[in-house]
Amino acid sequence: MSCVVRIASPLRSYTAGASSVAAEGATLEEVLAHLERRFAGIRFRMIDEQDHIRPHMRLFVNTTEACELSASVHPGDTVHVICALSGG
Amino acid sequence: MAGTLWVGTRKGAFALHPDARRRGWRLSGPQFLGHIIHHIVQDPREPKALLMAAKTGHLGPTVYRSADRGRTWREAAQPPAFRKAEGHEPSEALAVQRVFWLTPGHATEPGSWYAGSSPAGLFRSDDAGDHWQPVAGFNDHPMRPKWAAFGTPDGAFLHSILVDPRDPKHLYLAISVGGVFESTDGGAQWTPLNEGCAADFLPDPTAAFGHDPHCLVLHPAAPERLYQQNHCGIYRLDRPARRWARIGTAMPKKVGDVGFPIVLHPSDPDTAWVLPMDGGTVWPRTSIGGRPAVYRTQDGGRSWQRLARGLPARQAWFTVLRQAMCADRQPRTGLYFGTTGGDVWASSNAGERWGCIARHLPEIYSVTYAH
Amino acid sequence: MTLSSAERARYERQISLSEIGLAGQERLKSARVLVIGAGGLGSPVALYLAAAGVGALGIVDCDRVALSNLHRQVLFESASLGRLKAEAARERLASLNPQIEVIAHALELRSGNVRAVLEPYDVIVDGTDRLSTRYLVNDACVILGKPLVSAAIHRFEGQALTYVPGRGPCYRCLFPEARDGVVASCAEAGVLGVLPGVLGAIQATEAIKLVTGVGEPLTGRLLTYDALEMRFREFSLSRRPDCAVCGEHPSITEPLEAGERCAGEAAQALGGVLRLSPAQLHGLIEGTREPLVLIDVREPDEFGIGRLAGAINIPLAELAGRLEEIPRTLTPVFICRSGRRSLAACAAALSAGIQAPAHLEGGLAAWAMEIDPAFPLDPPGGGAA
Repeated sequence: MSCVVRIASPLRSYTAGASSVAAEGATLEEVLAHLERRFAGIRFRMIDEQDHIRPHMRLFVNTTEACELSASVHPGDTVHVICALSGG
Repeated sequence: MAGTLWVGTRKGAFALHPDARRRGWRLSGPQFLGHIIHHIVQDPREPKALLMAAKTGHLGPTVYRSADRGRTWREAAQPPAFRKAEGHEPSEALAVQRVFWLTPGHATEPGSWYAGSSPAGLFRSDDAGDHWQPVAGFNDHPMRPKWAAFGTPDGAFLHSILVDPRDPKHLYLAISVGGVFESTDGGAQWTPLNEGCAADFLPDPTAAFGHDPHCLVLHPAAPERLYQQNHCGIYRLDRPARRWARIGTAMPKKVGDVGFPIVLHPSDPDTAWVLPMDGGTVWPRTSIGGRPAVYRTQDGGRSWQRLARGLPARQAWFTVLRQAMCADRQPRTGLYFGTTGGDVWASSNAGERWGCIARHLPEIYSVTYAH
Repeated sequence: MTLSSAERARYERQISLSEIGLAGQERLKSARVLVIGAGGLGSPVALYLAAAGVGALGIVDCDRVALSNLHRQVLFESASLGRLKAEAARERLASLNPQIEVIAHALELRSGNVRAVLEPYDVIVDGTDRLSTRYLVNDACVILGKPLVSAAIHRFEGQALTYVPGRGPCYRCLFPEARDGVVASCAEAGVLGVLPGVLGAIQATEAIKLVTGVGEPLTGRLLTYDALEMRFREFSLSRRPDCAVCGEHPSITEPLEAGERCAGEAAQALGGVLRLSPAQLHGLIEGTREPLVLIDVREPDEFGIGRLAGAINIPLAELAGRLEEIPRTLTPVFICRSGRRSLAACAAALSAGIQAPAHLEGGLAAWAMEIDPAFPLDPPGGGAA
């Protein structure tokens, strides 16, 4: 049930700088819960209290955008957390 | 202990440290560069402890906590958040956009704090700001959507949370374009407290709510006395009365009585300072005529004096936000304010004379003193 | 239009690519491409598009060249310090390729000028460093039907995507909200100088492909680049049916700046009151797209002094009883002197079940300041209080 989560750079202060962490879960919801257990506080930075993905953040499972937290995650998948960048 | 002047800005937190004679100020910071800092407040019950209301652009609002006078900070384990809405109540599916205001709880409840948010919500922590819960009595109040219907172009803020020093269950709070509200049962029930306040923009002049308080303060030495800087004037209320009296009418007509902050003297309930800004028809909200001045009353609002020595005399367009002005507890009462232009001004003698103690900071949202 | 022999010699190497050929080069010559931002991204984009022979190249930037720009903004040199970027860029690009026309737009894009600036161009390339401008440009491109090549950078990372009208998602489909754009810019968070060089070259490639019709643009795809890992990744994106600007029922029909937008959005989320700035109302009136009815809620004597064309007068005190006079097919826009009474009128309209009433924020006083200084507000000979 192991997947890889790639962490957007603004969130790496929660993961001690790691850009990539392993996580368990069959859905995005479960994966995020697992991340939260390991890196307390990280979930609220991505998902608000109504369980909506925060503006300026996007989650992808492999290359497909995940709009709901119920999206499935399979072993070997990579979950990408992407933040809007604004520099030019 | 010299104390620290904390400056919360749009791009981080700064601190100003006075030298022994309070002549020179050393600037340190920024901490949390890039974060929006709305409020930095010391716990009067535990002076080494401070809380900071912060937000990064797109990561969600949060609260940081310090136990060492602001040298180091840790994020709250459970920042203020509304409760999850049930499926049938989509209109109540609120998410905190900013934590805007922080108030330490009653002296008999160490570790208790209140926070006000945008959208307008009230939260409480009982563990020195580490975990926060919604105050259901307010957030789920059936009238809350109406009380917080309008707000400002920046959203509806809940601010000026006050705890009566005589009674932990006696609370006040204010909502921009919503009004002042009072609870006598620890936040389970709330009632509007806006009689006597003008609200020229409301169709019904006797409306119970919808007013626009900018800043509400209660005097610790005389907690039955409240002052309010409102969008439509300066008011005073002496409990148990329910009707506010407009003391701003005693301000000079050309100056008017519209501004954001109001600051009370630490021990004298009759002395307060305001910083009037132009509240004219398009609400520019800058120093009137480009001549910044602080006004002080020493008689509970019957008369006001202009204090501007040391402030620029012309072409100076200051905007000072509601949390960006404060007083300290020094014998001659130091006063401080920060402008949206990034300057911090200080007076060591209760406003008689001013000097600029920091320049070129980012837009200032909060100026508070930690003793 | 045919290419001169000098042009053929200059572009010989790309003309010899069968995918480009003379036909492709002609298309480049007749193309008009606008580059927004002459900074880290704009520099390589502009250089490569000028070199490739884009016939008309516009550059938008209101800033001046600063020393800390030079590690990445390769359009400029030390001698350019202090100069307006748009002007310095024009000189450099004209010297690189005198055959093309370079137009310098030394201005800041705002809701008031974005349509006029973008209209004459065929392809827009966004290299701005401000989130609010990014959304403004995106919205303008969707509304005007212009393809947009978008990229952004931060420290060691970059993103790029291309919007082609009708063929895929826009920037808002990916990141719907523009709230409070305090995403750290290069000035605050830092950026590796060469990073925008990579993304800018990708943008220039996309623009050339759009103009010549060659290859597959990054439509429906988000390209990300991590310089430290030296890895490109690609993500699939779809157009959102509920996108505020390119979706089935767009709520954004005018390109507006984030500040103006958020007031409206916040109001809409809070119960449907639309706060219009004078510029927005002016745009709506001039655009004549929206079926509006202007309702002036001032007293008759104030209304008599001066009114907006087509406004009807229903004093606030009478409004509650006269709301049914407003046809439900029209969007009411309430107007008063300062914006206070008109906001109250919105409250009354909402209570009566009128959806999304609008009001002029700041009132006619703001209109007089920003749109029409000759608008009569006070009786001749003396101002009202």
